[in-house]
Amino acid sequence: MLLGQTRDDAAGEAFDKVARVLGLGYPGGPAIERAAASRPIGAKNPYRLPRAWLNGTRDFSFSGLKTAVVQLVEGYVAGENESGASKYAREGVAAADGGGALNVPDVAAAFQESVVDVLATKTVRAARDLGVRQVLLAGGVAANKPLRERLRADLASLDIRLSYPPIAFCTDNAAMIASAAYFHRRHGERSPLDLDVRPGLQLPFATNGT
Amino acid sequence: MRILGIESSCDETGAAIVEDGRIIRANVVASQASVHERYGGVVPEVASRRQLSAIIPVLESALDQAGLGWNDLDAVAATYGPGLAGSLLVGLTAGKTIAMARGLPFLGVNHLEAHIYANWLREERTSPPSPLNRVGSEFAGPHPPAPSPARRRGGSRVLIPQPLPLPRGRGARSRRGCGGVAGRSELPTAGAGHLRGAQRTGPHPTPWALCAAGADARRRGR
Repeated sequence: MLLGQTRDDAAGEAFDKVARVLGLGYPGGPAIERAAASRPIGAKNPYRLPRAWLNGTRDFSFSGLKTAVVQLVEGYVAGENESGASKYAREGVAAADGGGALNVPDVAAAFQESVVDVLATKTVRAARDLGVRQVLLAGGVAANKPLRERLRADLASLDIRLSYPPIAFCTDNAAMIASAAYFHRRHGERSPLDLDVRPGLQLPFATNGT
Repeated sequence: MRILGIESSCDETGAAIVEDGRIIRANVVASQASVHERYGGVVPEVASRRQLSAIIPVLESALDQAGLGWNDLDAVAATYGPGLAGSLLVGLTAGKTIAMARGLPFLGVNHLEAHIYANWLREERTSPPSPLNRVGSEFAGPHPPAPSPARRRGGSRVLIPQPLPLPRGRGARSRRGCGGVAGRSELPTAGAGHLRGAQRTGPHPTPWALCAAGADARRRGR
């Protein structure tokens, strides 16, 4: 059963877009993680970026967060932080040491913290409410170490197991395709040879979020 | 049960041979990330063309890596969605073609579902037994690719056996004691040995792949 999904951007897409506006390169996931990790340990972060909680649902949204970063950066580029900047960007700018250059590692860390906070908090809440015993992390963003660590700590306190793939198998690879195929083949399945591509294919779960 | 898996949904071309859903006999990925880096994201039309140039060498590398032939496969699987239509078509068509030609069952796989199965994958290898490192190089051949075998084998990630552990001899230890890279002089030797071996059998690594292997080994302090 599908419990929740993103309503706009995938988390990984947000990482790519934010890395691009911060000039950190592509792919964005590892670039942002590296930039955030380059900060001195325990350093206070003057930026705080929004979290879209979408309360009452188990869905996610990352486009607002993405836009907040874009406006924060554009505010600096244009040198006019007030016009066109979001409330959050203004707060961020006001909090940062005034007039200084945009601190890219700080922004990267604030963005990553926001994504991790929402993903972990909502996942842990869903796992607790449904009484599950194990959570599996998967996909490109599953390679994010702060996300793994946060989920591991939060789920451990609830006695829920967490498992995730080795980092090399979080990103796109063919081994996972062969693995998935094995478990289907064991049930005698096979596909017709006129099978066509399905660019918009979704997870094969019934949609019933909340 | 040995299954050949093919992945081509976006900007990476992958072929892998997995036994009983868990044991990886070969896993090859050719990434185009550096091609798309300047745009800050994947350009679909470029991605599908690169898929086309990478798919055959990647498939050949996977078989080489596993030391297996077409007759050793029990089924073929390929991603059929979600992803970029042009990229998906390359891997799906390759997979269906192989299955048809070899009379093997074909399975179309949901990419999102497959990400979940990655949780059961472990890098335990039944063969080859030597310690292996995965090294990366970008498939950066021209388009359209030249048809020569050397060129066709030019890309993709290859496995190069790493010298492990450091030599135990007194000389080696004292060199290591100096903290220099000299103690790791067996690295180029391993690289050259691989090149010689590759000319006879395996995938031909690009100079970049060898450099990456060396850098990787140094990073791991080997």
